[in-house]
Amino acid sequence: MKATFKEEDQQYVMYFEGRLDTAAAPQTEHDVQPLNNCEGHDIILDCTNLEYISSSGLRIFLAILKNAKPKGSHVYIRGLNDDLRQVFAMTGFTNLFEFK
Amino acid sequence: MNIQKVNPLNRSVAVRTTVMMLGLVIVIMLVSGLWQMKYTGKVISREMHRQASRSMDNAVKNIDNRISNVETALQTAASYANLFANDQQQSYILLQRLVEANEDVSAVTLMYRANYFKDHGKYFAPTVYFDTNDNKCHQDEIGGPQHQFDYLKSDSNWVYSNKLDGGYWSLPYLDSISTHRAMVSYSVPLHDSQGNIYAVLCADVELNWIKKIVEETKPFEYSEVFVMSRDSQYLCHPDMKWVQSINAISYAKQLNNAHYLELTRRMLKGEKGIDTLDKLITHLNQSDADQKPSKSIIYYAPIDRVQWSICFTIPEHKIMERPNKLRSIMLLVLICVLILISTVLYLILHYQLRPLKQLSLSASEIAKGNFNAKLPAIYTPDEIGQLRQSFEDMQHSLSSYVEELKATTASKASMESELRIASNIQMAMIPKVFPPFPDRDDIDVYGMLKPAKEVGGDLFDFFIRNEKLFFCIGDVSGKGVPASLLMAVTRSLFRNISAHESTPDNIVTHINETMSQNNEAMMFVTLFVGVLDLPTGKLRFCNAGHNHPILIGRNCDILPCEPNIPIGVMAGWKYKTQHAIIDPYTTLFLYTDGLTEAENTKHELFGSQRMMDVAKNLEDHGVETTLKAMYKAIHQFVGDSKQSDDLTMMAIRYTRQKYADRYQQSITLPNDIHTLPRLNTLVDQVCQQAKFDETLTMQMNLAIEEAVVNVMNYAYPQGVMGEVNIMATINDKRLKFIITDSGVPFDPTAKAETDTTLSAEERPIGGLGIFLVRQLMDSVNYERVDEQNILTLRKKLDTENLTQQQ
Repeated sequence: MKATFKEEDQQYVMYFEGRLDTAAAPQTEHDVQPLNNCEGHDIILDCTNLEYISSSGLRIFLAILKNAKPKGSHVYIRGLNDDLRQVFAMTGFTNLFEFK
Repeated sequence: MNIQKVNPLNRSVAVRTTVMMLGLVIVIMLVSGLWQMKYTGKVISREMHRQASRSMDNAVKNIDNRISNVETALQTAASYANLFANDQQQSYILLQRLVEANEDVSAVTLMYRANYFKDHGKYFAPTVYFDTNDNKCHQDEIGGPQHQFDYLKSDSNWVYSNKLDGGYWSLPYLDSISTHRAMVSYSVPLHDSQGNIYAVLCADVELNWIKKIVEETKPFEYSEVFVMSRDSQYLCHPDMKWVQSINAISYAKQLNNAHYLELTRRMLKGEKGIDTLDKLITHLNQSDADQKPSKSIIYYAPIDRVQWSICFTIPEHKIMERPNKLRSIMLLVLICVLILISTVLYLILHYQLRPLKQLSLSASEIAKGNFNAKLPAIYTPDEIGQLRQSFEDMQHSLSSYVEELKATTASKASMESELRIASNIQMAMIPKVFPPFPDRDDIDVYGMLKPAKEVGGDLFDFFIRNEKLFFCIGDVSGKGVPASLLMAVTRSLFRNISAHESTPDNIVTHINETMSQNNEAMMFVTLFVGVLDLPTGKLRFCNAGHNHPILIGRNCDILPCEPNIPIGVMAGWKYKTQHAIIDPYTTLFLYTDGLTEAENTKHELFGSQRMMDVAKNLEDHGVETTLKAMYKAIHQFVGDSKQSDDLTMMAIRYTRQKYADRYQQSITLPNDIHTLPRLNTLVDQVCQQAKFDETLTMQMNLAIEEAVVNVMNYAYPQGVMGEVNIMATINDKRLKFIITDSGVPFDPTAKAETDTTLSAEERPIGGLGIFLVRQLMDSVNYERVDEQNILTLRKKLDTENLTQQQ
């Protein structure tokens, strides 16, 4: 599992690669810390190369959203594959996030 | 009005009173009439006796007088006869004087002894007789030379006297056969100076006057008179032919009538007396049939001078003839008077009671519901007036009462309508859709509830959660509305508590705790709660004082239950769970006491024996058939008897088929999330065996990972080392993961559902894991067995499932 932070066109982009499972969650939680200070920037969570996500991963996504929303930042999800989109749909996350 | 046969007497008071009065008067008159009859009879018979006696005395005296006159005349003549007797002419003069002086004497003869006169032959008997044809006396001589008849020596009736010294009355005789005139002779012997008889003076006396005398002196018009001489010949008889022709003694003998004979003899002896004869024979050739069977009273007395006997008859029926006639007239008059009195009485009563009839008409008008019907105007202060007053009072109270009744009825109707709504609400709490799980092949349930009243205190309920069938059946003490309220509470508690509690003892204990509080009505509920683990057939149950269910399978047995107390009786009671394994194709039959205590008209109970007998024949039947068969049996048993208690039955049929496992693999991991990649490998391998596609494999991975992570995080507290075993099994139907650990009891299924509709701000961070497991697997099932948490996850294998997921 690899999570890479980039700033593109005033937007914070986080690239997820591999399996975001329970085992990988603590490390990923650490990796996404740069998104904490997102005032004035929208956040894009790029899941193009994300293969798997467990509830721990979903919790990280929810935590990012909960942090960003009061600061007026939009959180977008980009490139989510169909299988993972099903998981998002099941948990109601499709209603919470905006998709690109 | 009843169209029945009414005794006409009871139709009208006037008629009845009249008839009663009439009856009373008739009875009084009958009694007094009978008394009067008896009394009059006595008086009349006494009077009759006196009359008869007087008549008898008169008759005897009169006859005796006439006879005595003849006797005196002849005796007197005899005393001076010797002055005439010596000369023939002189003797004629004497005889003529005698005939002329005595009208009763029809002829007098002086019979001289033989050769008294030398020139007259041997016998000489000058006679003078009175010829009634010319009313003159004629002389004759009957003993002269041409007759040559010695009167004095002949043994004839009247000449017999010459042997005597005094006078002699002959036996009566007939003057001639043709005239039938009775005669009698009186002879007096004439003595010469030496005292020898030289002649006999004999007077013939005609007896026609006897008839006349007795007819005159007889006591009654209808009396008949008989006079009999001492030779038992009649001198006088109603039928003249009898005179001197019928011998009374011979006749009595001929009749063979001892009484008659005795009477005749007594008369001949010269006795005086009274007798009674059954029949009176007065006519010859009279046949018995013509005889009136009437008694006659006979008065008889002798006439001593001539030794005759005289007798009067008084027919008894004649005695009372006149009084009877009088009485008939009286009776006729009486009847007329009675009819008159009755009519008048009836009319008076009818008139007097007319207000009653009007009152009765008004009353029936009121009875029809017209409470304002006008009552007839009766203002007399008598009983009828009082009755009218009472009626008026009744009319007033009736109308106010009816008003009240209307109000009560209306409120009752509204109550009934509310009760009907309550009944509908209650029935809505009971599962109604059968079969309840049409797409399941392992379980079927059927239930029915028949309340005795509109609402009842029985309940049953069931639902499936996490591959477990939760069910309960219960019976609230009492019936009707109070019971139904408690039933609703119990059912709600069962639903609420079993939504997160999975063990029956916990469910029952919770319900008990809630119900025991503030149970001031002291009502209680018997409740059987069961949780059937559908994949394994393991039944856990807790029976709070309810009827023991029966298992209908290969055998028919009662499910043994521990004696727990009913719910609501005692707070803090620890209920215990019991276990049983339900074999496939077994029906669990639950019921309330409304079944076993169903009563027929003879007050016999249906009883558990009959229930078992019915159940034995239902081994291979479906739940609906089973229940309906049982209900039919109860219905037949009870017959027309009213249902006395709520009746509830529930049948649960377990029909799980067992499939052979064709693949099995297991792994044991320490409670460290870093070992999860090993779990991924296992899941990937298993999914490959199950021919799952990538998506499904990913989902399986997600579900198993979430479940295992849950166990790792919660079953073992932080820092405690432990193991988690994951066993995967595949059979023809499904893929099964069993996750076992030895940690603290932890039931992930007991957690509340995650609400996925909340906004980001509202959503909690946690709780997603078990939610995902539920979403991804077909069933999630938790059990705590032998200090281990066992979580079973199942996924169906069929291709339908695969395509659906894609």
